Amino acid sequence: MFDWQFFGLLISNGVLIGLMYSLIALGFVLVYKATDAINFAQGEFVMIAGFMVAVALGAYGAPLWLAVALALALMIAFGFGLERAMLRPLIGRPIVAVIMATIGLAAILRGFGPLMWGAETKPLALPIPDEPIVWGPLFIPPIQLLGAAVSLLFLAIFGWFFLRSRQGIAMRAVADSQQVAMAMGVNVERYFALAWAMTGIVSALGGVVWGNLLGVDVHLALVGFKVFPVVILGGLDSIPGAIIGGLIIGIVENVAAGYVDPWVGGGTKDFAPYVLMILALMIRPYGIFGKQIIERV
Amino acid sequence: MKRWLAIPIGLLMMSAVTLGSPGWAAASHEIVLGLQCDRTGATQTVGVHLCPGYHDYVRLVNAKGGVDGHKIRAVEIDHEYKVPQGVEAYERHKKEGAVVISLYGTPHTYALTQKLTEDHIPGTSPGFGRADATDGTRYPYVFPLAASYWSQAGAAVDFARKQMGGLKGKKIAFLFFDNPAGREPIPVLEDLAAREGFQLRTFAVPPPGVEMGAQVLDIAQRYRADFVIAHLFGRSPSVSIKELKRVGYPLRKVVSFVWGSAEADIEAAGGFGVAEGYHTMQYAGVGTDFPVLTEIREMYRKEGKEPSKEMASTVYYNRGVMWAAVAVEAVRNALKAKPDGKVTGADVKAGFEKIKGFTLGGLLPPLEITPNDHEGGGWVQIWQVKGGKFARVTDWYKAYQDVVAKHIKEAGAKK
Repeated sequence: MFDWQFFGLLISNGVLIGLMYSLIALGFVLVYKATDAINFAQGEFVMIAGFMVAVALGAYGAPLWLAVALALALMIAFGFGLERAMLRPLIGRPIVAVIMATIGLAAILRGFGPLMWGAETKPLALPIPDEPIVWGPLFIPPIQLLGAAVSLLFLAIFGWFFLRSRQGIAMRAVADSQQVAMAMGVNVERYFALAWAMTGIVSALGGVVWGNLLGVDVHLALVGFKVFPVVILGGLDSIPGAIIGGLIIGIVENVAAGYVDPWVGGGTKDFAPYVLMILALMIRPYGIFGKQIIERV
Repeated sequence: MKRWLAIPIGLLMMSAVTLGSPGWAAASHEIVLGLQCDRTGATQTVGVHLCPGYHDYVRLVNAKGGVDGHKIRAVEIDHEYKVPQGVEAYERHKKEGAVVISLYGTPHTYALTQKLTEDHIPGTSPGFGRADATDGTRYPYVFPLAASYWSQAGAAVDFARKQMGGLKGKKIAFLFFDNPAGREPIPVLEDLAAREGFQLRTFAVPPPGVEMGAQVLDIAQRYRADFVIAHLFGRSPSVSIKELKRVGYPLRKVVSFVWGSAEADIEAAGGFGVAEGYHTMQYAGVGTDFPVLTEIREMYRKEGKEPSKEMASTVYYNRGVMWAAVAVEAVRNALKAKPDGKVTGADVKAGFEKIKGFTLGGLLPPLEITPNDHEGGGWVQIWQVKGGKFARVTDWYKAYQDVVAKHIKEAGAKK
């Protein structure tokens, strides 16, 4: 007999985890949208932010609001600094240069985190219970609910920012054509820096919720790997795409793990999203909501 | 020995003999112990706490004048939990003249078994390695020294039986790290399921083991396990504690094998308050209340230093002390036959096989290592997270050793 409760649990778990993926994917989309750069260090940004919050809470006994505010400030500064020191010199270079730079940055950050704050896993405690909230047949872990709520809130804020605010429109103009934007008097470099700073904000929030979920150490960076199937599926430059992509990946990996794992012995959760990603690349390479760029060659 | 040192030492020895001084024993000879460590790499949380325990015990022995007057030198090499580096570490230890090597890691033990045998250097693998290495006749130079994964499986099932008041018709979930070490206990568990009449389902967690939401949901809500036996490594034990709690599964119905049982795992899961009820399996004593640890703290104080902070991580630190203590005890036994200190790996192997009743004030189980049994009995204790600390639930015990013996015999027949 089909166990509907278990199926429902897998779906609800997939939805909530998927929205938490969306939050990380949002950081990726913000940078791509504004600068056309693909940030391979997105997971490491989350890890570094997680370290900041966990150390501020654990080693210095800071209150949560201060630890989060500190991480936000530091990550914004990090985003600005990174753009100024590493990425600005690469403006106008082939896109592969930026990609390689972020891959290098990822490796540096993975070494820097444990070197700076120690290798052991640090807990990141939040004032929420671990026990699940029971809603009829569903068990909802409070941290996942919080993660999903934070994710939706910031997706909405950034969605509004790009659609309605002056800066957001300028950023879209920069993304559309750097040369034209410059000709129209838009300060391209400033908007690049702003995009990286916004990624810093998202990474800080991601660090808090994912850090609580998994604990903080170098493994926290692994959440970055989930970003690629999410953004390829949803569209590299689409905020709604980050939501939809996250939801699809979250649900697919949970359902695969729940129903396929018992038959094959495990591990489907890890590759199911990538199977989906490859299919998406074959069928709709610009993603569900991505901008369709047709180039005649 | 360096040639220029040999002359004065030789002269000293001659004068000792001619003077017939009663206080002069044979000249002191440095004895080298090899220690493979993992202070960096996938399971570094173990190495950073365990290896200091090893070194502190060796320092304590030397502070007391060494073993029968011979100094011990522990040579540590970090292999980052990578097999090629582990093999390289072995070669360097061999070159240093190590008479025993404390290995670290199941894949490393597999890779080095042949070399150890060919070079006649005993290698120890407490709590990991190959379960069939219990059989000393087949693996003369591998010494598990502590409960293998097969013995741990037997002990875990026995513990579940006592907790549930029987096994018949019960459902047990085996949540394991999906690699050869993680899979090793499954045949023993399957045998026990058939024999005791319980249902067994296995749930694999792929490396690196930071995601197991679906598996845990299945255990708690679909399979509805009466008891969970967890066999996870590295980051995954702490994740399993959090995940089980998130789906409302009571942690008092969980027992973890020895690599998901340390303070570091509990801290990473959010602390002792979060993990209340969780059962852990141990092959060395837990806590700070052992005479040998008092001596180590005293040694630090005499040096004008504070005891090392690693001592607080008692599960791993104490295992480090145990590794060193058993190796030193084997050297001590070897020296009985060769008081001049020029012991070889083969002598130390024989020394291991004479260890009996050496418990270090309760830090070790009542090990009895024989030429046939290199595991020493397969003893474990169960400790539980209770009231913000580890509390001992059982004394040293072993279970289903007949089933374990059957598997050892079958493994021997396959060779």
